[in-house]
Amino acid sequence: MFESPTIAEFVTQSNLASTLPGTLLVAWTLLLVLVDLFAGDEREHWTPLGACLGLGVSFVANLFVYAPAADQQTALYGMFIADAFTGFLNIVILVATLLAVLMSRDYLMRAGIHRGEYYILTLLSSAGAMFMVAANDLIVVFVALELLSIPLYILAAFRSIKNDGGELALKSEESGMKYFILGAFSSAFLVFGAALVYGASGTTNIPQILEVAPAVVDAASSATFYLVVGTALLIVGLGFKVAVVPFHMWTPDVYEGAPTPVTALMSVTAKIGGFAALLRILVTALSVLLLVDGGVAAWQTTISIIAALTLVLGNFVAISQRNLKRMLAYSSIAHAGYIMVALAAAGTAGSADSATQGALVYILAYMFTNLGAFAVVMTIERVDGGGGNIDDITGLARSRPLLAMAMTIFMLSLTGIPLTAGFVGKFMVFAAAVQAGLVGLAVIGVLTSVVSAFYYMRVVVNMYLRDSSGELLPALETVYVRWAINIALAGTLIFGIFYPLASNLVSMVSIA
Amino acid sequence: MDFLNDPNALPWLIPAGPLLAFLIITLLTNKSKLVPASDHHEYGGHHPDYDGMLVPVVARYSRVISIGVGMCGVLAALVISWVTLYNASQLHHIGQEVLASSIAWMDTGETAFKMGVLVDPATVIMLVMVPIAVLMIFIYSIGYMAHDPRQARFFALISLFAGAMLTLVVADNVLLLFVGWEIMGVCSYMLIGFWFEKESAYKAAIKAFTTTRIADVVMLLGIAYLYSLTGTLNYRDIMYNPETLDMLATTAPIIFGGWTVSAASIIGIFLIIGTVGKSAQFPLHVWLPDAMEGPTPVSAMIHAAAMVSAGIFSLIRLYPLFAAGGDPHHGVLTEPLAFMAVVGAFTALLAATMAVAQNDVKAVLAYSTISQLGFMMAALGIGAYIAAAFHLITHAFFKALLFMAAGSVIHGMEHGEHHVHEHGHGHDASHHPDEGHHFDPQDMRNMGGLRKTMPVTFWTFLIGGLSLSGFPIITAGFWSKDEILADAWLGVQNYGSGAHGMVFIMLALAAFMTAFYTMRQIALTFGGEARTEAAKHANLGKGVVSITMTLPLIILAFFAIGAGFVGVPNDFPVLNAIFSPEYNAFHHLTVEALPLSEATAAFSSLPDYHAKAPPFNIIPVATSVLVALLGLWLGWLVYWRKPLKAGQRDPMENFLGPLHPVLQNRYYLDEIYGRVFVAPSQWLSAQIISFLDRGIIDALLHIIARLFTWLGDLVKVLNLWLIDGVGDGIPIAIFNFGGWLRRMQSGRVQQYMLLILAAAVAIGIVLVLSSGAALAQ
Repeated sequence: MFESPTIAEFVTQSNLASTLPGTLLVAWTLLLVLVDLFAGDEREHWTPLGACLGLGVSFVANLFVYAPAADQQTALYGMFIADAFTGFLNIVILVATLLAVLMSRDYLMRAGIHRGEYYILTLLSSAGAMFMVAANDLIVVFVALELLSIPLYILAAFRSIKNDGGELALKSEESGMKYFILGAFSSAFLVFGAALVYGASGTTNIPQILEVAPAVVDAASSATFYLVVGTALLIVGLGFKVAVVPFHMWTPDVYEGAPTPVTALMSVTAKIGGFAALLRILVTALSVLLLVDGGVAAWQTTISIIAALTLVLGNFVAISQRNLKRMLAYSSIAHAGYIMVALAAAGTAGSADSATQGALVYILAYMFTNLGAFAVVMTIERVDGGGGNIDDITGLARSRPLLAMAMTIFMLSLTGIPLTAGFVGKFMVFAAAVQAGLVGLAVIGVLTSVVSAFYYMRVVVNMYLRDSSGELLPALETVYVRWAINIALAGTLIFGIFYPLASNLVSMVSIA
Repeated sequence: MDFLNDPNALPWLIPAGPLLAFLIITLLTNKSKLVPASDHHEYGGHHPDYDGMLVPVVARYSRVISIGVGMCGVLAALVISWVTLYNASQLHHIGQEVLASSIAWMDTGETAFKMGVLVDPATVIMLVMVPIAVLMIFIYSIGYMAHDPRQARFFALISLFAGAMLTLVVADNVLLLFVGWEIMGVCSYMLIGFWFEKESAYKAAIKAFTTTRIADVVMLLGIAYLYSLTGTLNYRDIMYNPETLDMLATTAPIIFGGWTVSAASIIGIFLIIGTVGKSAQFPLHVWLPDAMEGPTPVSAMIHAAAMVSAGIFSLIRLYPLFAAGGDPHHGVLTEPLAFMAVVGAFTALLAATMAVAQNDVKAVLAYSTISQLGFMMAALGIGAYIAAAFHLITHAFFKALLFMAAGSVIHGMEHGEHHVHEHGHGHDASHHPDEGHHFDPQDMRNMGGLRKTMPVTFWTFLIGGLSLSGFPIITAGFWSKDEILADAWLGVQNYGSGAHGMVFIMLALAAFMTAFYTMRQIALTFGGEARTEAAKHANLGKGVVSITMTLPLIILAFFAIGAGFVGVPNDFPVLNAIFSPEYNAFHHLTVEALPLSEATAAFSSLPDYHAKAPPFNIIPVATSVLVALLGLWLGWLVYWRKPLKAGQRDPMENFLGPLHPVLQNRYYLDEIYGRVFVAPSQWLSAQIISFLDRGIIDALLHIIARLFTWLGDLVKVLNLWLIDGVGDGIPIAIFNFGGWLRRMQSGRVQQYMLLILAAAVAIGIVLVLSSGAALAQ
């Protein structure tokens, strides 16, 4: 007979404290709904401020969770896990959200939409991402993924602005709708994959799958087949979230149509959530399961192919883009490819830790750089979506020298030039790939990086070497987005120049 | 790391002030507008070359800010240096113990390359000299650059220059030294070409940059070789570690017949070539005289406090490497030492002869710098490590003084010329600017009698000049030069060494000429009567400008005399009782920078680095007293007693006859270099550009660019057309989805979903196949 515990017993047994970074953020967000309700006309000040404070509170709570793998804690009877992996990614998510909130404040002011639910949805989505990086169970992965995604669907459609003719511009709605349909579709794959894995192993808990899997494989029954197909479906479902080829098709459409801060946010937090789940599921749960001779996980080939396709397609198609947001969208596909390289490397026994650490550093560098680049794009883009073409930044170095300098550094970092964070990330990922024996993949990565220089440097060339038509670009942005750029720039440079900083931060991460 | 309380970590902050100042000035004072130079009232003929040009004018407030920020930066460096010096003095025995701190900078496989700071005796002596000299140069610059529209730029660059020098000084490894070295190279390029509207200025800048670059490439090779052999570039790990030194001295990568060259020698010579470029030694000395095209404070910076000192400083730092394998104190020189001795002694003499025939007040000083650096180089070559360091310090003080005093003279002459021009008593037809004859305020033949109008400048210049000449006992230059000669004589006396003898004779000759041309310069500039109207009215004016320009001279004059007394030999008659009762302070400090005798005794390849100071000997002392006084006396006889009249020929022209134009034209070395190196390489470049660049590289680039664009288009087409096309065909057949989505867009979402489905199948197949081994179990 199951006896229901008291609340106090529940709290202690379930170790709720270690879920505080996410749960506090949700609780704070629900309070913020009330604040927004009563703030009246002042809400355009109070809600974003409250959102920033909430991020701060969550940040502080996260510091208590941040622990080496040996001291990891699980909560809610093994559903959640709190370790260095969680702690590090939580910080990245929180900083990314902060930057997105700063950019949003600017965007909403300029667009004349003062709606508090915007920030509420942003925070909820980030909380979803935080639950996802803490997920230790396939069910939690799914629920957290939905918490991450559903607010993003709404946010993508948020830009209901009338154009010059007085008609509603439908691009944003279209973007949100597309994202929603495809997202729901891919979630179905995820759930189905989780169901197959459950069917084969009898559990959805990630560490338990690890324990059960060898026995399943030894039995060589049809259960092994379900496990393999389930893995494939999980890769599909999460591959959509991180936008790797061939699940990338939605990305340029959605990125271009969504409000720029939302694009920036989803290009980072959704990817972090997806990659965290992929790492936890593939590296922790399924690494031992599918070991073929030679100490290589069976899914490595698949992931390698996806990574190579993503690198090639993302980088080559980005070349022919004229719209900056579309270019960044394809570039974000390409960057997902580099993280996939790290994921593939984690499939080799013995290099799981270094590859995971490389992926985390890459994510950190990508977060600062990509958000910074989007913030710069925001400063020159008009709210109706115009002005974001590559020709529109011509002569930026003359009219806005500091902005052009910041953009140059972001472009250098995206290319992976030393003394920027992007280099450190790429270096660690490629080093892990080589260590894992994936030399070919590393070579593809390096070569496509060279290709990427082609379109990133075109931005720099346009800013510095081409003369503008004569009129100087007006300063459209407010101080908030400038702060976002400053923070992103500082991150990009600090982690780039102080080379060991990033690798030291992730040195205690271990999920294998 | 708690920087302020940790004596080991504090040196990190020494270069921080000037570097920060550079950033702040660059970032905050870049708001300027372009105005025609003639419209700008402050221009008033100060730099006639600007006429008609658009010059950027910085708002006054930002000029004040840039000066203030620059001063704060250098003051911070000075204060932190002093605190560091105090911390160093608290060490039990500096040299054996050091202040050091480092961080892992880049992990490379198993090892990490460490970047750090080190305060050992060599650092200490530089920390005494560099911040003070730099501060004086900064103060002087306030006055000297007061009317320049690009003050902010100037202070930013000179702050960066100072920061780079301090980085180099506190660096604990050769790579960081090289970083500072290169930043100084860039700064010198930008500062020599500071008045880039003048053709001669930007040409000098390019010359300085390319000449030093040649040397730097060789130096970098040496550094790379050193790293590949030892796996570290840390000074203490290499220079204070007898095992490493022994390994380098006994590794012999080149055996040519009976001639074996050790790795230490190859690395040593490569590194020395770097200094030959940086410290302007023959044959790469040609850039330094041209470098005076920059503003005078920059000349002082390059010639005294920073750039050329850095070259010698790096050699002092690396001295144990050069001496490894030989025993300079017993007459056995290694290849690098012999190389230094020959190059140094030859340069010292060569440059001294050139200086004799120069008429430009700064050119004389430029050649004297080359000559004095030759002294230091030669001293290092014969193992007189400490004497070289000593001369480096004293030279830095009196040369900074001389350059800034010369700058004051030029400033005064310009002032005088301006005065003459304004008040219309330009009766001196030959120097009237309207007649196409450009008045040269730097030509000593236009000066004379300046002692009356510019007394402070005169007296300080005199002190500096006497110190340069090595005037006995009371000047710093005497003590340091005397020590070099004493060391050389010791070699001759004890081991009958030919190298020591050569160095002794050549340096004594060079010292004699130094005294002579210095007296000639003093006499031509300050002696006799004014030879032009401008000289008659030359003065620095009144107010802040003149104070900021004379105060540093007075302070440096104190050092030009006092700095020598720290190195009085403790067996020098009479004076040892006052200045060195127990030991020679400078020697006592510096000698500990070398590996300990007990440690090196175990290695037969290594010399005993702990050389004793040369015992007192009357011959070198008498020689240095004699050459100095003789040179000064001759100069006095020829130039002071019978002052040059306006338009009169220089007595040297008569005396030297056909040799004079050769000396004046620097042995035509610039012309020869022009013919032999510059012209052919320009011709070659032209050929390469026309053939290789246009014919091959451009074509190749175009092909690659086309290929990439084409590939990009292809993938785009594949993405949009092929995949969409397939997607279009199949969904019509399979899915007949509702129309509302289609109205919103072209129906691509379905295609995307179809693609996801197809990919899911593909991934499933790949996974099943690749996990076949697991499935078959």
